[in-house]
Amino acid sequence: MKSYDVIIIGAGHNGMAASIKLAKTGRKVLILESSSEFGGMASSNILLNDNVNQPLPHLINHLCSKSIKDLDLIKYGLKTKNFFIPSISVDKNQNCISFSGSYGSQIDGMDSNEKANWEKLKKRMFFQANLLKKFLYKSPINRENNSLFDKLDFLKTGINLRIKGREEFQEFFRMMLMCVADILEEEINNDLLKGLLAFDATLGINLGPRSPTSYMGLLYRLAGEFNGAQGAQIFPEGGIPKLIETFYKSSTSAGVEFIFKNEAKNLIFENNKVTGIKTQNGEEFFADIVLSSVSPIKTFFDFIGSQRLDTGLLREIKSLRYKGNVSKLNLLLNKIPKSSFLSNEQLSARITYTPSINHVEKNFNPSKYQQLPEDPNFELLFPSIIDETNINNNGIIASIIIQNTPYSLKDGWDSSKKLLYNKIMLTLETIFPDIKKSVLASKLISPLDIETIFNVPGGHWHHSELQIDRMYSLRPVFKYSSYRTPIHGLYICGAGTHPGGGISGKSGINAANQIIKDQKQNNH
Amino acid sequence: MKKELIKSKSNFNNPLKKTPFYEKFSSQMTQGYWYDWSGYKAASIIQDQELEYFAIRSTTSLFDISPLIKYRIKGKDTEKFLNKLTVRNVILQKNNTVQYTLWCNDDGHVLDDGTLFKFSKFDYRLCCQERHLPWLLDTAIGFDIELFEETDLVAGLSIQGPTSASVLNNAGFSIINTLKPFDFVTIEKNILISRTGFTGDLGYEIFLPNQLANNFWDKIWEAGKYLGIKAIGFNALNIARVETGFIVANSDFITAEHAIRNNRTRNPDEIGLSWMVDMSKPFFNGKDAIVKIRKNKLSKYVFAALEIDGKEPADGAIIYHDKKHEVGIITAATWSPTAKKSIALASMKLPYGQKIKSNLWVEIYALRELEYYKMMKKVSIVKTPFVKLKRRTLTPPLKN
Repeated sequence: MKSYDVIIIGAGHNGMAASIKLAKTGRKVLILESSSEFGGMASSNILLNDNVNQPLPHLINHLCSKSIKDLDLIKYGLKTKNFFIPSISVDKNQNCISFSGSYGSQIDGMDSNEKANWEKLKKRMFFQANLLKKFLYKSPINRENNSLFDKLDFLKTGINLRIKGREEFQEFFRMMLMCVADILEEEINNDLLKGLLAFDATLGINLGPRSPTSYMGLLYRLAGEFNGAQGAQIFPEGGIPKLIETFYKSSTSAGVEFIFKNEAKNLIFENNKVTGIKTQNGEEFFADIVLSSVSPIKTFFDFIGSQRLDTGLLREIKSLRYKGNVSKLNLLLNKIPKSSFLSNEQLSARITYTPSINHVEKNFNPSKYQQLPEDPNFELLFPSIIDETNINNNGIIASIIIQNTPYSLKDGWDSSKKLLYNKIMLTLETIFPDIKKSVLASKLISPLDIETIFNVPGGHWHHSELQIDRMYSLRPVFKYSSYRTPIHGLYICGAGTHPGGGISGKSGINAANQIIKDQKQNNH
Repeated sequence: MKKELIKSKSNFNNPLKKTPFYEKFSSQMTQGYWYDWSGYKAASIIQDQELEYFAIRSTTSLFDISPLIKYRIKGKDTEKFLNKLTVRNVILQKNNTVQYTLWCNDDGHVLDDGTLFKFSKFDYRLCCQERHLPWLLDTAIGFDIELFEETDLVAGLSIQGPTSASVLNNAGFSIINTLKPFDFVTIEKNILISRTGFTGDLGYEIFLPNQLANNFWDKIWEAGKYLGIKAIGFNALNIARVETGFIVANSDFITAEHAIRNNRTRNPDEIGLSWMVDMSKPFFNGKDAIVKIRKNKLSKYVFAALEIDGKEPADGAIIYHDKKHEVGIITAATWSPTAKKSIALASMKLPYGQKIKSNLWVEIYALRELEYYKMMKKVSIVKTPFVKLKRRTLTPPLKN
């Protein structure tokens, strides 16, 4: 009989983050992973050809200092030398603006008036994002977690907000639920800049820049920091695979045991208490605590089972929106592409095709009707140009994240892939006239593919929609937002829990803290 | 034409539906007291409330129960489904019996009570006061069952009173003589006879396809001609049910989906039905919450049966401790003609009604020709039923 203190389902970064925290307290931890690799959705099992792969994500913006410190990532190889990636917003007429430093601390390509407008807006947004930051590393307040101590943060935040003066106070509540488009149009004029911000606010969620609450998406993004640089987007040295490896190394060094290619199938529980996990090939592993880092849809429906869920809860889980709308296109090129208007230096930026707010909004519209966008918005990165250590002999990788490509398409994904590919190439050719000829290999991964490859229902990058109605205490649902479930000893920590989204390790760390706290309480 | 179509689709514009027994009851109606029972036109009083009550207790009464909401549940997982839905263990229920049951939401608050007819492991009928189709269908997710509402397809008639067994024998249904309370039998043409009722008296309930309703009525009426058979309305039945201590959803307690105010919902312990909750079942809707409620003693109310000094019925009266502090409310009250007492059902705030049972009073306002008479009457807490009749359970049944 194999016994552990904690069994974690899924070797995604959140699962590993939790494992590190738990193993460091002396707990004996096992991670069960269905695939042959660690890293979950950030793992490197999307092969472009036999030798080359490029994971889904290519940048990080939420790996905050606390995560790095708590998880010992630096000790296990995370370089402090990292690349702050500027953004370049382009359109098809060879216009561009560049947006660099930590979220636009320098911008080029527009007049000083516009820069001043941006500075003013940025200051306000950063202030507001900072207020939210406090809540990212906390178990949300809900019916069970509501001691005075828990509520103190709300009080502090309220005071911080109020002492900034009446105007900031009012602005916060005015802006909170607005659409990002209205806020941008109030303050700035440049279409490329507005397009970029509209894209950043809505990437990964099913909202357009004119949808109410879309401003929250931007605030969420800005709540992240790296080494104190708020809103910075980072390319870790060696790329995402190297970063994920530091999680793995830290985890194994802390004594965590990994078992790959053995999918957790059934939860074993007695009298409402978890006792272990039965895997696909019939093996049983026992522990008082099981922590599931997979999608809440899977945890609640597959592990607990709809028969064991109170009907009200079942309704809530069933109504979670978990269909993704982001696709990934990886290209292998035989040479560094030449741009007609971007300098070679600019090729190590994040290049976003975001001509204007309306352009992003127009591309969002068809997704409501299960159709592909007319002229898709995307962000493009050349990992091997940014980081020399990332160069391989097979060619240059172009990593492209495409927005507004819904999970369910009226015409089906099989016939739509070629169409989407052609649309992207058409745009790329306006930036890099020769790019089409230099493509050696390509791989387009739709939300449907993400579902199959990574075992995530709906193929959603955040496991379930990261909108205001499903944030903080409401993520994944109010009753179980403190990482617990109806089964004693079964916890959740995937992107579907607070705060979720991005490679941050926060959900994992928070869940581990909750487990430690609960066990301490039970022992008293 | 189009306008008519729209109109017919909206329930709120439609007149109340008529039950298959409607013509029979309305032809005897002298009072015109109708009320809305789940969208059906139902009688409060047919001719005379007192005489109708005495038909229940002395001869035979006929009451139309067709508007009862009825769901049929069939299929492989029927028992598993019902064990999730309801708080009792249906596996322990015998075939061809009826079980009184209730079901809760996630918070352990009661959604409704009802009766469950078990035909077999794979076939049940659930009867209740409120409609619950969305809840039942969502609860059914993950179970291999078929579930549909048969309220409009099945007519129901309640035959209650000391001569009811004789009436049924006269009508040729001698098969009922072996039925013990809560047993039922299905005879030819899909007619179901159960030894159940809401009166605490000897009595039966018949469920049958709509098209048989008329003939069946005629047969029973003929058979009861010399046995004092009488059509009755709800008011008479209500007196009998209070005497027996039976509660009515949304009258003696507010069901969880109807309650607008948070503190109006009730858990099973608060409405006197804790005996029903089978905690040995691994799971049912609301179990986690009820475990917590019991562990942390979160119940705030208790169901109480009261005897009140004097003869005034105390409908809706407030209960006081020491004539000063409000400690509860009366949810149903009547003068009991059989017990010859003023009786009531009440919801009381703990610890009153449980630990503190003395020095309790009710304030009754009796309106007599436009003047109120205000009375403070002493209350004693008793056990239900107020009226216990041997003939209710006697098998074979009493015959005249």
